[in-house]
Amino acid sequence: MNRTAAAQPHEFIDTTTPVASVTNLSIRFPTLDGTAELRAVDDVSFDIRHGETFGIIGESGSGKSTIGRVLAGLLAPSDGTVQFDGTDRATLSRRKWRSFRRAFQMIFQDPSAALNPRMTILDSLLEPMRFMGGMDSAEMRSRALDALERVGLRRDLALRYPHELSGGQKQRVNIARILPLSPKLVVCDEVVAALDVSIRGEILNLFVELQRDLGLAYAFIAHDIAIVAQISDRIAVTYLGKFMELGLTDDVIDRPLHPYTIALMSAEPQPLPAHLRNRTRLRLEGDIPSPLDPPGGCRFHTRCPWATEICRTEAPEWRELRPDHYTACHHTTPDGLPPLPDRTGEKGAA
Amino acid sequence: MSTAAVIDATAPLLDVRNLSISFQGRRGQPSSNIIHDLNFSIKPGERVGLVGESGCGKSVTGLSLMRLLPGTAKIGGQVLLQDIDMAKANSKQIRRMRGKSIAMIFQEPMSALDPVFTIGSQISEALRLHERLPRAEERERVIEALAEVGIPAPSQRIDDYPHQLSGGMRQRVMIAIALINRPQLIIADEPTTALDVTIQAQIMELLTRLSEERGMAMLFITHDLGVVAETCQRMITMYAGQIIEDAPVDEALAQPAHPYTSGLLRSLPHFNHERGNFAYIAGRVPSPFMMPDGCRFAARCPHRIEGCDAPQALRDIAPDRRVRCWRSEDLRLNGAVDTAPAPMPEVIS
Repeated sequence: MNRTAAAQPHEFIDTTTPVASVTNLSIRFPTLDGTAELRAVDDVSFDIRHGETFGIIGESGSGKSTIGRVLAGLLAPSDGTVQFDGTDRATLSRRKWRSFRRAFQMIFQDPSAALNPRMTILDSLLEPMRFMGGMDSAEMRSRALDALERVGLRRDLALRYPHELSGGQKQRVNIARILPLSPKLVVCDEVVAALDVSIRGEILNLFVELQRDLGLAYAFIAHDIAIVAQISDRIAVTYLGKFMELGLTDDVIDRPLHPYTIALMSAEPQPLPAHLRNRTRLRLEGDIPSPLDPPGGCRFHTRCPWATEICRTEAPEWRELRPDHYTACHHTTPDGLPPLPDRTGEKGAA
Repeated sequence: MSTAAVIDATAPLLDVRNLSISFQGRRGQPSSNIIHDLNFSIKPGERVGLVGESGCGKSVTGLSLMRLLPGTAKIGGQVLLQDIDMAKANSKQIRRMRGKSIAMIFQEPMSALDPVFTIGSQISEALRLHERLPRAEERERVIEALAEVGIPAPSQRIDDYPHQLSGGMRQRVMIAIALINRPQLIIADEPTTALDVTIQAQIMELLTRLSEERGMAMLFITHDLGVVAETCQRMITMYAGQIIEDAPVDEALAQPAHPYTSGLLRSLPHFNHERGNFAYIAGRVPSPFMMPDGCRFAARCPHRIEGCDAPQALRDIAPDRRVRCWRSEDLRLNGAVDTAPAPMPEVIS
């Protein structure tokens, strides 16, 4: 197994304070009729370090995209604090915050929807710089064209419209748009999900290359655990608004501590001949519960084969079981989970 | 041009011969040849994966088998299913075939179900088109169908509306509708793409089980090679409107014969791959208006040599394998086998 760290933190960047620091973050949305609240994110804490790729995986309703929007400054926390580069967002004036948030950018899933079809590529590239201000048009233009080249596109594409570009080219333009803003953290929300498999690698390599050259940190959000594992330094596994596990990629993949992490890895279909596929797999039964009415105790207990009485009644504590490797599970140990309990004949007893 | 030689005595259930599909262009614009000279067959009970990337023609092929293409589409060739040529059948014949002999499952269960009718009434609608039953018996059949696709408490859920069900449950309802008349062939167009990965695993297991229990053949249209590996016996790979490889699934994964199949397998992300170094196929699919005469993959192919710009035939290279590459015998292409399976902790063995 040869997984080496891809990113070296940039030499000019202060690496002691995290680029984003999230403490006890909760995000609540009221339902349309106002009678209930959806807890999209519930009491989550983590740091993102300068120059690292922080992977966030989870299924729908896990809150992964909501966390991403907080990290890009698009959403203020309902509870808890978010520090951007050591500064609490809540302490900044509106005006200060506007210039401050530039360093925290986001790239979205659908490269076509993110570009205005009636604007040329050049106009799309100039728009963020116009908001930023402080540059004359010649300078903005030359920076835009440099950015285009930086993401591997020809300068003459600048005068085209989005419909003339392929999906991969459009996603490159979306990356080029944020480069002149000198971002420190880029939230990548399912950035290759809309692209064909054969060209995904090319775009992902571009992300890796830009990180190496510019010292960017990424919050890399995806539902595909294999992609996240191949690009991230650390991985957070989310389920119904809570973190289940957080640790270094190799640690999480090779020695997962939480049952849900094992289930996610098991569920991934393996494109391998039958004799090479894993025979032993953890299959989850039942549906993901509604985030409007999440289960009490451990959120995962309704689908967890290890679950016992305590899991139904008591929320497990977020613990550092191994160095830099956190999880919330009543049954796991630093050496991983105990053997799967044999539940045959126990039906109805629990 | 040649169809795969059928070795065993079983006649194919579905036999697609020289299928071509083109769409009339807008005024003054050329018509586009989406599919040209497509040949394949499916045996009774066989599960076949039809893979390829967006725009390769796999969904159009699936729709044409059901005759669901819009009027602007021109279909040529034959689609033989139980002595009926679906490509030429009249609307009465088609109505008799749809549901009863061939049925389809779509990607988006929410848009395929009608939000203003209960799921029960939508399943009985499909049933009633082929079979008239007394009301109570009909309801009984629908409840049975819901139970078979793993919907808990089916006698209560039968009166639910689609919005009351989760995505996975809706897809189960779609499967119940497709299966209610016991067709011999199911076409599943990206049936799990809109679902979460743990739910996808459940639906794949369900479809495989039902196909095995009923001896029902399936055509899985998908871009996900993992799904094909785990559910299908044979894999047909399409590129730019052509079949470029047709092989037993394990052989296609272990020793692909076409450079595109190999490139696709190499492009899949993997737990064990080197961090931050992703494989890909450079270049783009040619536009349907500027299709090269020779190999359609040549411009992106790392093994291209002089001679690849000649038209490529789909050749038999083994009794059950076909490939559209004249160099395949000379090439040693990488498959998916040197990537070990995902690590699995011992606790669940």
